[in-house]
Amino acid sequence: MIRVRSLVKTIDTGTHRVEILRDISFDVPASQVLAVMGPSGSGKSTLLGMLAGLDWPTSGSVAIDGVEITSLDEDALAEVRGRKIGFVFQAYQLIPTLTALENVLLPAEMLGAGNGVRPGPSRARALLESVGLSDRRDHYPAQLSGGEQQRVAVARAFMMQPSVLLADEPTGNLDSENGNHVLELLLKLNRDEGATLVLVTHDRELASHADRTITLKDGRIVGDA
Amino acid sequence: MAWREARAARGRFVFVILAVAAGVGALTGVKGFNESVRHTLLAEARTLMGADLSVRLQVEPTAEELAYLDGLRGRGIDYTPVTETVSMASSSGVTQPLLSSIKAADLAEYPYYGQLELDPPVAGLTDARVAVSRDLLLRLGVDVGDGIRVGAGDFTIAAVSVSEPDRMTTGFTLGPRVLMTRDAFDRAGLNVPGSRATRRLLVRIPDAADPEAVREELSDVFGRRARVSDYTEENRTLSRGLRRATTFLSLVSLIALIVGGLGVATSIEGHIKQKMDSIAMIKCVGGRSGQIMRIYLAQALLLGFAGSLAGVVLGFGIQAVFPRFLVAYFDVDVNLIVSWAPLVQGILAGMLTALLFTIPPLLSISDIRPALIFRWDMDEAAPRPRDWKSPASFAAIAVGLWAMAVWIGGSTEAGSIFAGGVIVSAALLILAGKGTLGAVRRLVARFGRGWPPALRYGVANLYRPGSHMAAILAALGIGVMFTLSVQLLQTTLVDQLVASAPPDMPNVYMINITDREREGLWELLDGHDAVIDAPPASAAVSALIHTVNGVPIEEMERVPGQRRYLRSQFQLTWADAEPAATEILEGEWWAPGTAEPLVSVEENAAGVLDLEPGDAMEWTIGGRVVGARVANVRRTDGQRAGANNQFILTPGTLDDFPGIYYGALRVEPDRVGALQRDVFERYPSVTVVNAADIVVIVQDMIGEISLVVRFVAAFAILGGLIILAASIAGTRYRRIREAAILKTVGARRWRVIGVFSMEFLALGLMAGSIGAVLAAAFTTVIVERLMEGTYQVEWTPLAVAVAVMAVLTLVTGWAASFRILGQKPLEVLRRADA
Repeated sequence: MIRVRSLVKTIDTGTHRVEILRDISFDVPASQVLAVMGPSGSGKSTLLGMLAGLDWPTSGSVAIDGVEITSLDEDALAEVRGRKIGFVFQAYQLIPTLTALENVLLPAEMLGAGNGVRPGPSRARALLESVGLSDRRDHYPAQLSGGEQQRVAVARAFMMQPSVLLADEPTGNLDSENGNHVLELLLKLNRDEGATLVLVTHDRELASHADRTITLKDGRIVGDA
Repeated sequence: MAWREARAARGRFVFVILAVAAGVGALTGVKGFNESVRHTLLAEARTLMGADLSVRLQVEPTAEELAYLDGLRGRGIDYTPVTETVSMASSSGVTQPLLSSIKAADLAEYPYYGQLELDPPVAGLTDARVAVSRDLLLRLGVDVGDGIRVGAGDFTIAAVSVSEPDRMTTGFTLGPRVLMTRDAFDRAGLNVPGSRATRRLLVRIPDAADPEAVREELSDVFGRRARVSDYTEENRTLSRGLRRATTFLSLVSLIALIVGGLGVATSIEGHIKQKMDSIAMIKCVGGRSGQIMRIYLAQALLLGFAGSLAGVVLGFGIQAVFPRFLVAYFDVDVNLIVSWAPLVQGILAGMLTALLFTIPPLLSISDIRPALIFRWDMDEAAPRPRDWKSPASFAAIAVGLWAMAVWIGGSTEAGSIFAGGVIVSAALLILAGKGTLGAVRRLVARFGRGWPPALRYGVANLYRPGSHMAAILAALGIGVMFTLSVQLLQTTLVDQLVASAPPDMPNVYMINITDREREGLWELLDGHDAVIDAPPASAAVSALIHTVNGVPIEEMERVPGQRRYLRSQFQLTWADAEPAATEILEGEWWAPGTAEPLVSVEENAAGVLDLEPGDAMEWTIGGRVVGARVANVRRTDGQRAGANNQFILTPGTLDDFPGIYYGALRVEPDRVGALQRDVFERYPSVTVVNAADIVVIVQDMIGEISLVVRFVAAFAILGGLIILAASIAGTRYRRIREAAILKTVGARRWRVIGVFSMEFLALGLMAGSIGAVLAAAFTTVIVERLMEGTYQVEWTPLAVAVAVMAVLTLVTGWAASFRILGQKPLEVLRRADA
């Protein structure tokens, strides 16, 4: 589950201060599908980044499964991201020099031989199969279509059985057919793996599949339903 | 337009400019230094000889010759003798004697031009006071004011000899300098008739006299007994050496230039790839390929020009470094000058290189189809169709390089050989680079599963699109290959020098033994427990060839190699029995006790002079003629000193002439010093040379030459590293993004560092290995084909080269990846979204 308290993010551009998030608080129970909506510049993606520990808030706190991540250093954050959080980007963000399979395996390998058993190639292959790409395992990103790349990214996000999956406009670069396919995959994997899913989007159709929708405007929550 | 386009990609182009600058800098540095030295030689020509004319003899001038010279004084023409030889010197107590080079001159006269610089500047050396070089003080552990024993005389060190104006004309010397008056020379017992020494008569001519006429006159008087040269000629010899060195070094700098060219090529190609959309757009709105090509051509030339300008400035700095390498050879203050020729040549060469290497990417512009603009997700790695363009541009580059090599080297032959070598190596390097990249990729795909992830991803990164890894490998590899080859050749040469000697080869030589000293000395040697073997002394009398079968040698038909026989003094020796390591090819060795004047002729001499058994030969010795009949032609093992005299006569033939004796001994290597001490104590004027010392001197000399060559060659490595930096900087954005992705999926900072470090290390290891393998191959070819030696592959220098390359690429890689780690993942990945 996710707990957000009094989250504030301001950026100092040198000439003036921009307040991107102003006093955001909410909870997301485990396994919930939450959509975050709002116009461009409302702070959706920044919020998502804070949830993933990709950036530090100016003040306030974020806790994932009870772990306060806002006070962690970079390496500890990386560890939390690797173990608890999956991320899907609008622009796929695969590593071009690695094959589909290697991209899916990446989170497991980057985590290093730490405590506990790491999921290995068999899980990566199973995930690729569940996103319908078992025959394209050894293709490089440049050899895959946009939809296929995003499906690889989805498989990668689920690799470590994260408790939280964050998706930033996951269908934004795809046509509706591919977009629906990716969304179905996200929801199916959310059900099968029991992960909390947070979707940032400005697509109402996409948001309609969520259990709950939070609407942001000018860095504030203006709707929660 | 070209300028505006280029400005946008400033970061990348700064590197290219630097890469070109490294090449141009090396070239103008070499050429500029050459100009400076030539300028200095020209300005100081008289000083470098210390006279207007010099008469160089291997024997003492005869009384008639000296009388003639004295007669010239009436016309205002002065002369003074200068003698140089080697002898043993020690501090006054009985200590280890040191081989030193002695120069005896009349310091009231010498030098006619320039200054003899002594410290302190004492007015006169006397027959009891000498000056020595600083390294002699150091090696004997003495100081100014202390006593020193040179040959048989005891002296006081009055001053340090700082510089002699004519030091350069002597060439390299065996051991530190002792400068003394002629009286002191006599007192030291070194003035032995017939001894090995360089005798020069320095001649000063009044302004009114015609130097050419005096030179002719002296040439007539001395004939073949001496070489008369005027100050401009001395200069010519030096200039010739300088010209050869310059040709070679400028060709070496061409390698750095080529690497710079590769830099231009890769960056323009990368730039065009980035601009494909806009090129397609320009074509859509009606732009023709030619117009677009002109934009990029202008850009390449602009880069070449900017790089050349920077290089010219760098070159001046490099020029200033050279004198430091060459102190041992150039005992002259070289006045560094800025001359236009090298500057212009450097700039033209830089631009030409840029132009040549831009041909392939420019030709690719016509392949960009306007339709491209509609196909966004085009496969970057799609192979381009093979057509005439790539072989044609390779041919154009090859021809261009050849022309540049001939032009820069100033020699068609040297330039062609060099260009051929470089083009072949470059082709091999590119093939090897592609081959290695492919092989490593397959290796990782096949066996990489269990490898550490950082290693696998690092290696995978080498195949990043747009990173020109094959070209970078070639650029780095060629520098490694050349620099390492020079070093391998150096060590091989030195090893050869030591190892090729047969085990029974003498390791100690004794020179300048008089007949009087011979018997006693050999008694000492035979009784000395450090001596393993002391064959009898061999005698020598200096002589010139007079006639062959009655025909004066001057009138003989000229054949190649004969000049030497015309001009040189030969050391005639005699022997009763056939020397060791000798094979008689024609005729027979004489029976012991043969009284008839017979001569045994060495194979090469017999070939050049067309001699066979039964022919008659005559020599002149100090104005007198001696004759002998050829008894046999022999082949000798040239590595055995004493055995390679061209002419060995029957005993008795040379009895009437003052001979000087030489000895070649085998001594326990670690006890040579003891023998030198014991001989010096009783026969101080006998010079005992330890072959090991000579090897060290030659080793040092080869080492210094090799250092200069490697210094110039290292600019190619520098250029390669700059290209690497350019490429890494060019893919900086991708790297930032990948670092962000890695962090997002949970990679700790050190793991991200590991992935990139592995990439740089792998690159350095590959480039180093390719360069090392090719260097070993190249050295093998040179040593075994050209030098007829054997090259034993030694792994240490190769491994060191590979390791150094890996470290260099790692450092360069991180220097060029400046700040990619500090970026916040979110910002980076959102930027990619936008």
